[in-house]
Amino acid sequence: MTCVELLWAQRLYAIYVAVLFSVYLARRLLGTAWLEEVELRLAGLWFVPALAAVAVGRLRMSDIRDEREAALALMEFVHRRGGFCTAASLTVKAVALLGVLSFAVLMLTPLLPEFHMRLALLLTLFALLYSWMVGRELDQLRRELELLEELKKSYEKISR
Amino acid sequence: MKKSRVDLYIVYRILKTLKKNGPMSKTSLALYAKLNYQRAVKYVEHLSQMGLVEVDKHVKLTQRGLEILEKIEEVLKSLGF
Repeated sequence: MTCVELLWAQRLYAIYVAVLFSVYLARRLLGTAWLEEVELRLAGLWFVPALAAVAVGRLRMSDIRDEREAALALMEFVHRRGGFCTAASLTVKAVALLGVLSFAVLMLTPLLPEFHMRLALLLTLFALLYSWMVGRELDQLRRELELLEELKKSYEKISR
Repeated sequence: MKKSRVDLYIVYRILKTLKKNGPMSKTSLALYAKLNYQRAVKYVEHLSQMGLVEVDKHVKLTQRGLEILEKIEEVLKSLGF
């Protein structure tokens, strides 16, 4: 489920960023006031692609009837997209970590009014906690990679 | 139908339904496999091109289809399912 949701999040956020920056560029070039309104509204909807990705993922998975079909769907997914699925949970955790840290650093604005100091703190904390998290999850990643290889081989055995 | 649009788990479901219930009409197959009729027809066409089913009045599993189904079940068993 996480793999499918992450794939859709990736697609939808790519579209979101493209639309947001097109509106931004159009506003900068044309200087129209209503485009500024559109840009602000769009920026406020940053969470919509994430929610839509969860909905699409669940909709696609609702078609699967049992764990055997789920295993076949996962097998096909990893065959088509290689290692994408392996780090899916780690990617989700990294995004969540960045979100939480950004919020925490934003809360420190009265203590650290300089933007560059807050940015440096955010990046340092993220680098430290992310490397700690990856270290902690290495064993899980290794097991996921082994499963991935097994699933890929199984798929090849079937499609041969 | 494009190859990338074919889901393996649906192929497995159709082959399993045909093995369990024997030859059947496309409508019955769609019903038993819990698929939308249009989708079931597309899959049947695709499976027929691959030589996994035969289509005349009814949809029937071929020897090759049976072998593929057995292969899938063997792989699933080796994965612990």
